[in-house]
Amino acid sequence: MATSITPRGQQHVDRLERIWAERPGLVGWVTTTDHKRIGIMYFFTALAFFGAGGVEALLIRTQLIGPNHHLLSPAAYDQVFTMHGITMIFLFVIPMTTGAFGNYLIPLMIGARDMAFPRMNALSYWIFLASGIFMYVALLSGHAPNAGWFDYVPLASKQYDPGTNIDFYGYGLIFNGIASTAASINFIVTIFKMRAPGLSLNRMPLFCFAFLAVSFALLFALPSLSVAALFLELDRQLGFHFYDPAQGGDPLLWQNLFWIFGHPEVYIIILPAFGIATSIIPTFVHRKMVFFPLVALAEILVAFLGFGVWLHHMFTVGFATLTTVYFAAASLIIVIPSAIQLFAWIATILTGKPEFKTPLLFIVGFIIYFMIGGLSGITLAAIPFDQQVHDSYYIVAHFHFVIFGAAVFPILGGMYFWFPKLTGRMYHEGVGKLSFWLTFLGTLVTFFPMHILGLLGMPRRNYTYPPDLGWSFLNALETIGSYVLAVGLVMIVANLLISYFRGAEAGNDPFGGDTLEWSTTSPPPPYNYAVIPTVTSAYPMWDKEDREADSRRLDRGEGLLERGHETPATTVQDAEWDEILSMPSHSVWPAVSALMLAGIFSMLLLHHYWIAFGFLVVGALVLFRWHVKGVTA
Amino acid sequence: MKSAPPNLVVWFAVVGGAGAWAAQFVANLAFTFAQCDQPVARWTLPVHTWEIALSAAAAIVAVTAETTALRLFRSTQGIDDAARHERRGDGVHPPLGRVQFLAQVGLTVNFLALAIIVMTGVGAPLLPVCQQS
Amino acid sequence: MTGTSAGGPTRSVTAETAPQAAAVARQRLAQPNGWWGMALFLCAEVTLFGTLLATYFYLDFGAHRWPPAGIKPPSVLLPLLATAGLISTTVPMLLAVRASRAGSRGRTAWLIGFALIIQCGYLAGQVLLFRHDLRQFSPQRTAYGSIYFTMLAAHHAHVLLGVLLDIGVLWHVAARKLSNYWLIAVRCVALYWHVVNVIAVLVVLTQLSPSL
Repeated sequence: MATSITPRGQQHVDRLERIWAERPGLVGWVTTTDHKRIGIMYFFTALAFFGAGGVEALLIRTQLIGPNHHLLSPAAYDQVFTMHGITMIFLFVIPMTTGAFGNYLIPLMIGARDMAFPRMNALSYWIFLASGIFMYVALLSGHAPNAGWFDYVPLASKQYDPGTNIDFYGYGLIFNGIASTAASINFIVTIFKMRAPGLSLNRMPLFCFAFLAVSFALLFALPSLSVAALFLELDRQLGFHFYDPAQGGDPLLWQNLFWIFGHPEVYIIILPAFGIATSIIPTFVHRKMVFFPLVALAEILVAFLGFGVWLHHMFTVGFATLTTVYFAAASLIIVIPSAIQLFAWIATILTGKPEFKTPLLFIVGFIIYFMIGGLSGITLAAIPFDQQVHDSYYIVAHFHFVIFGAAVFPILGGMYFWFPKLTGRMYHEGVGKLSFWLTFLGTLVTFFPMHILGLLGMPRRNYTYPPDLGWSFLNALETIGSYVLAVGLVMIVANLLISYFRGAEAGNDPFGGDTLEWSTTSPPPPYNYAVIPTVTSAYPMWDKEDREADSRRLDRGEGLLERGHETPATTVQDAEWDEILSMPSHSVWPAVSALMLAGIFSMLLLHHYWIAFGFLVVGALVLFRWHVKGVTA
Repeated sequence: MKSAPPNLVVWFAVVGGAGAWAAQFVANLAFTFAQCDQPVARWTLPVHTWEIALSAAAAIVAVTAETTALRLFRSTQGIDDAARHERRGDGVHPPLGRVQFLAQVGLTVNFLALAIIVMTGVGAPLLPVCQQS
Repeated sequence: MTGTSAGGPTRSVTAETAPQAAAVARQRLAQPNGWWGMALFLCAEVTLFGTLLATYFYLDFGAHRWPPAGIKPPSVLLPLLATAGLISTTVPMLLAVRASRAGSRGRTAWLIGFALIIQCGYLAGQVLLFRHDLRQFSPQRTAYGSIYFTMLAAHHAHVLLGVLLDIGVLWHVAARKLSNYWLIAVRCVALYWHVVNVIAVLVVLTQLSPSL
């Protein structure tokens, strides 16, 4: 809002500042329930894990730079590539997208002052942090999971992997799943119930549709993984026989359960990227997204159909052809909603006036890599071809184009895009563009030769290879590419870090964005909006008169909600103002609860079942205390 | 202005086909697993008959949902979904702008769901039961 | 200023007494956040049980004999009777929600207490049956035992959680107050039990499927 605030309006703002003031210092961060602070904590934690996963990737690539290298022992290599997968998927991409971007931006975009369940939001963060530390304790103590992130039995069974390595995986993922389930419930209720008056379902930003789809996918996919991990631990710890064919179990049960989770997971990883792309594109091409309803539908439909395609990860296990047909049909059709979005992005860019600033460049990179990854995906859907290249580097190439090229590029673009909103300062455009080209080329050089290596027969997950197979040159090239990529990524972080201190003032809306978050100050105040905004279209920032009306209401003192941490709740479809909620503020109980949960899982891992039970009882008491204390009114 | 159809009808037009596919998918999968996973012949299920019956039932639901969506789309044509100052729903009847929005969504979803249902329904009975590829 | 004036949005948190809370509940257009939170949590739990039941049948289909040789098919009568008892609590839970929406704190508490007694009886009976089964066959001998006991234990754990929720709500409603917050809590607990009851039927039918 360009309009300046009158003295009367300022009085109201001051009052809100007092009501929503955060506690100072470290205590403030540990006890905070502010979605923006939690989002920032998610961001830095996920970024740290990204760094760890990146170092693991560089270790892998350095090991493979030439034949017969022994930087890592075979056992260490197993642990490193397993942790690379687990870190990037569970500790980086999901927390970075849903945790950081979702937490920070969704309440702002829908004009709310907080998430629906602020303290559960804090709980999700602390559980995620604890589960990440739990799994990294494994790596630092030399007992990291070592059977791949998919952890197939029987390799992962007690018989073949007797140490605690796999137990860190089993317990760690159940632990992590609790955080993600709580977070997804929180997002769905927030998106359903906390939208500003007038922001009806069909005016919701496409970013929110993407996050709604992701949250539903997480909610329905995670139980399958948790049950699979529970069975695994029952087999390993108590001698059950879920996966033991000698006693009537079935190792394929693990594969089925894992991929029922695992394929929706792929869309969970990539859908937030779609959401970020649909936020950045309209802003930099200065026009509305084409096919708005179809893009919204495509985001939801991809997540839904993603539950019916898991068998295509298992084409080589010998199911009846008839069984694979059910999956083949869904696997073919799921291409269409993806293509709808792809064409909608391209059409929007081509029919608008694109301004190729750094965020849009990353989105263009994303579109290119998504096409490469998508096309190699189609080749893999052909069963005979899949059976040839299964477990080769061709697969590694395919999924890195999809989950690095396509899923991470929008995250990087989004970091640049919303950096001014978070900090109030601009990033350096020239360095930003350079960092894009370095990451773009680094990605291409690192991952493209993997296609060829796969076709030449190089298998996945081998810690080294002999010199006479013709793989050496391409491997060396990939390793060089991976270092270029690392330099590009470090440059992004450095750009943002230096800009935080030295960047130019950004103002509220440096790019002419279309969604509500650009209407508040940069960085936003703890209460997000002094006046609850009223929305009348899908592009609220481009409705100038609505925003002017908001600032007039500030002067009149209308729609302020200043009797506590208040925010409106609206109806699910029409976003009619239904009631005024009083949100809870800071609390130490979420962090304590997460600590108790960490105690439970650590003690389970160490076979101290009674101590684990003790932690459970204390945890229940904490929850009870939290609950009773929480009811302030 | 015509009165809007009830919420339930609109939502059926959106999710009917997808739900039918999900039901067909789960039931078909259960039948093939039950027939093909047994190490000794414990039962013989008429897998093909079930497949055809389930696919036909699912296809009928999807077609009904598609025609409903088409009817809703026609009756609200020209009303902009993101239009400003649109009338609000009353709890039972949604506003016409949303009917248009959801009808567009339903037309696409049901078409795609129908495609999957028909592809499976035509393809599966042509394959021998329980033969590995 | 937007206050609690007629027609405008209400500050629901100010509803302290049972009649006030009931008035807010009747005025509300959409389901409250708490209800949605519980409903979505239950979606995850239903999926979890869906996975357990699917595992049961997946292992069943792949077995030579089910239950394996040496294990008797489950006896039908007691589990079915117990489940019927549990399902009957749907009625008092429904009535408790109604009473809370009518602003009657006492009736709400009595109805939840009545349901709680039956639910505790069900849980006690099921624990005895579980121990009896454990003496017959072991989860550590066959995959049948593994999934049988895991599935039942998962359900009993959910019943136990429901009992604890009941006690928490009952204690608050009976001894303290039925504010807006606790009225929503009553609805959430009722919803929890409705879903757990439905799951109970599915679990017991799966458990008894070899004998049916």
